[in-house]
Amino acid sequence: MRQRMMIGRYIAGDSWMHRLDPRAKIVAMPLFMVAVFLVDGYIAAGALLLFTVALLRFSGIGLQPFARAVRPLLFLLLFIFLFHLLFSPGGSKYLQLGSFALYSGGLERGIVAAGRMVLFIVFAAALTFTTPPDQLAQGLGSVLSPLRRLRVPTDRLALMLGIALRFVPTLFDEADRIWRAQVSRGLDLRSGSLLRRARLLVALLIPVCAGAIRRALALADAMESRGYRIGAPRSSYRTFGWRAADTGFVLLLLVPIAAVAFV
Amino acid sequence: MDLLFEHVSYRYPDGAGLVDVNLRIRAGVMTAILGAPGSGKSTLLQHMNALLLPSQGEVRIGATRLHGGSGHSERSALRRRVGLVFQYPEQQLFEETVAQDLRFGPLNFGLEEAEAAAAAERAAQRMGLDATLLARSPWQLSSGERRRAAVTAVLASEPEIIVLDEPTASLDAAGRRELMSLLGAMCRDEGKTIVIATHRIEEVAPYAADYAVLHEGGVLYAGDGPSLLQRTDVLEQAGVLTPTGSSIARSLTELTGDLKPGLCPEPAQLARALHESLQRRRTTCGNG
Amino acid sequence: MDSTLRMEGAPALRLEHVSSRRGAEESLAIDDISLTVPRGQWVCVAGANGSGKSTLVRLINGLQPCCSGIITVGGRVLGPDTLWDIRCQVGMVFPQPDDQFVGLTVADDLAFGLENQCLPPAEIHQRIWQAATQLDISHLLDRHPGTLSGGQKQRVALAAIVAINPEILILDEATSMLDAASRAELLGWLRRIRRAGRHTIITVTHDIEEMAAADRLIVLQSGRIAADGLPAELLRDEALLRKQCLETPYALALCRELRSLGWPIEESMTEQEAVNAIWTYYSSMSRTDTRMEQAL
Repeated sequence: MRQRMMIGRYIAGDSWMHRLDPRAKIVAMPLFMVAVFLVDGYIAAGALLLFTVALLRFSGIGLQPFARAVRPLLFLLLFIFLFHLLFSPGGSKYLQLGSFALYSGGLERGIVAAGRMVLFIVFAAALTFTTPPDQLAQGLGSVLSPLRRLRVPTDRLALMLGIALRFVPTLFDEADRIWRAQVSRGLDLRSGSLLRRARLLVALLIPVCAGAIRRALALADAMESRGYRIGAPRSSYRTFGWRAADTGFVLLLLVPIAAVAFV
Repeated sequence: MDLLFEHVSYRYPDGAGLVDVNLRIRAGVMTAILGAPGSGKSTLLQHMNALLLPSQGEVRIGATRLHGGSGHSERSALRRRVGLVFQYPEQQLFEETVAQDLRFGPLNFGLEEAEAAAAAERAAQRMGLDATLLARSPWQLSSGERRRAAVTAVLASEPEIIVLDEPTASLDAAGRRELMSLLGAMCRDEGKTIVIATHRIEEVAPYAADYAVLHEGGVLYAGDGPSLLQRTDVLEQAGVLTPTGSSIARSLTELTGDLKPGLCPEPAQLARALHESLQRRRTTCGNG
Repeated sequence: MDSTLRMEGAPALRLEHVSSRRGAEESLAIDDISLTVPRGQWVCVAGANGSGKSTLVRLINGLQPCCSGIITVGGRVLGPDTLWDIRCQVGMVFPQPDDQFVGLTVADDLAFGLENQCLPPAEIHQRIWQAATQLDISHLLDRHPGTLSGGQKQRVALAAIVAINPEILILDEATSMLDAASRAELLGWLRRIRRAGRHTIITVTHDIEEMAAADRLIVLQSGRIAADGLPAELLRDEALLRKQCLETPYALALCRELRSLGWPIEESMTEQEAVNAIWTYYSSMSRTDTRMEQAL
């Protein structure tokens, strides 16, 4: 049983951040996002970066996992950087490349924009590294529960999230198995026309979708037979205890917002 | 052509895999690969059709050698010759009709439409799939029929070596007997090499000539059935359950000191062996 | 769910002239079946594929609708108003280990059914702990299902049901996707549960050993009951076994073959008995001749 796709990339630990109530971390996320989006220059970006690095020290997780989290999006970051570099005027002109002009303003915007993205990814990663997925799902359901007054089925959404997190590795494993089975039957997606290759993908998609539907039907039977009813009230065995540290953490995240807004 | 594993090792990222496997799969016979879940059976099987390449050592079939650095074309070439049937193969059926699914493999391997159709037809005949079944959608078949169709789909490419991972998993008794006897016939009558990974010794016992027992990635035993029967240590260590028939046969062999049963004899065979043993005893005593 | 509402004298399950259709078709999957299961009994339901075994047990907790007849579970008639209460009294384990595992961790999964009953957290924790201890999975409580073997997942499924403490445990081909060792292990757990005597057990299976372990064997054919009695008796009925495509236990088949060769031995069901009977006769015949020889 390979653990390649353990979702949420949860890294076990006992750091200060691990011990926070998941709801505090979930509430902190949008607060951090506000701070990130208010950043508009080198100084603000630098300050927020320092704040984030200091905060992440408390997660007890090294640099490597964060680097791995950012890596898949390197192309996007490069694109954002280049976009601003080439198309944002302002400040002094550095040089002229044909019809493109590189300005210092563009350079600043590019770096800051890419930097915002990195900060966002890194904070989200910290959230998933320090919170087991089952706590994340339930925490989210709990945080959103006031929306129930607006008739939003938050408990159902939280359950759906939990089931999705539960099955994503399983579905990936099954897709992998089906891939290997079809490759054993000669499926070759490397050669042939683009159209032919697209059609061959059907050999993967149909079995995987059919499998997912089959599982969903079986799971529904199992859930119903254990007394699940849509819309009926359910209790929760997992209780979170909100402590002073959690309030402190949320308040702490108001600091960068204030700093960035008024600097 | 024999399939040879020479000092093959394979490491998964989390450890596990194969450890210095040396094995000869003889051509034209059925070989049973036994072992508990996690012993490396699946990994071993996937080396046989180059889905996985060894980190160390070599897999050889005739002149073809597969090692860590083998390229895409070598691996594809091997897949024509070695067909691999995964567990629950019916999950991979996807075409609109069974007939089309049977043609999928041959077409992928470069056969023309007409040739592919002919190959599919031949495979269907061998496995007893009639025309009405071939025209139906895979999802309309019963579970036993889907299993047979999926196995046939791999056979349609006419590989010389057929490797199956638990082909009888979750079939009922009749389905299991039927599938095994079809495979046994293929081995006996057409000289195909068949490799079956299983945990049900009693199913392969009537047909398999060679046995290999895997444990924690290594080969604990490689040889014939009757000798394996005596190796209780191997079976226990590998976590392979001895079927009732083998267990009874072994107990009686120890007590009488005279029987030479196969690995898992049919009740009729064992009864005859016992009867003949008793006759022999009485004759020698009478003549003494 | 108030267990005191259960009538003490009532049988665990009663079906009266129950029929059920096959999906949207007109044909009947279950055709006018009546049976009564007393509390604490272990019933095994067997039959060829398509005979209606799974359909029958799914009628009991309402997953399969019945089109006629009355189903009574623990004294309560199955209907739209009693469905959910009855589901608290019937726990079902399905054949596919993965597709009944709801939670992200084992503890989550054990809690799922209890949360559906709105039990307070303290009680849920206690029941989870008890069930996990009973089925020896307490060391697995934090594990994600992807890290468990099929046998372990089925044990979790069984523990999740035991935690709900239903009157009836139903195992629908729960071992068919497991390897032989896991199957033997799960059978051992069932025997233990049976000995404790707190539940009524219904198993659907192809496995001869499970059939032999049960108190009662019901064989279905085309939606009707073809045989209903003690496993020891039914499994000796060769005609029945042949007709239902069931295997004869090895020990029994061996004894029969020897009897047809003239050996006067008892027909034995288990390995131990068979070996003893055969060896007794064999050694006695050998000794007789030796003694005769010495006398001459």
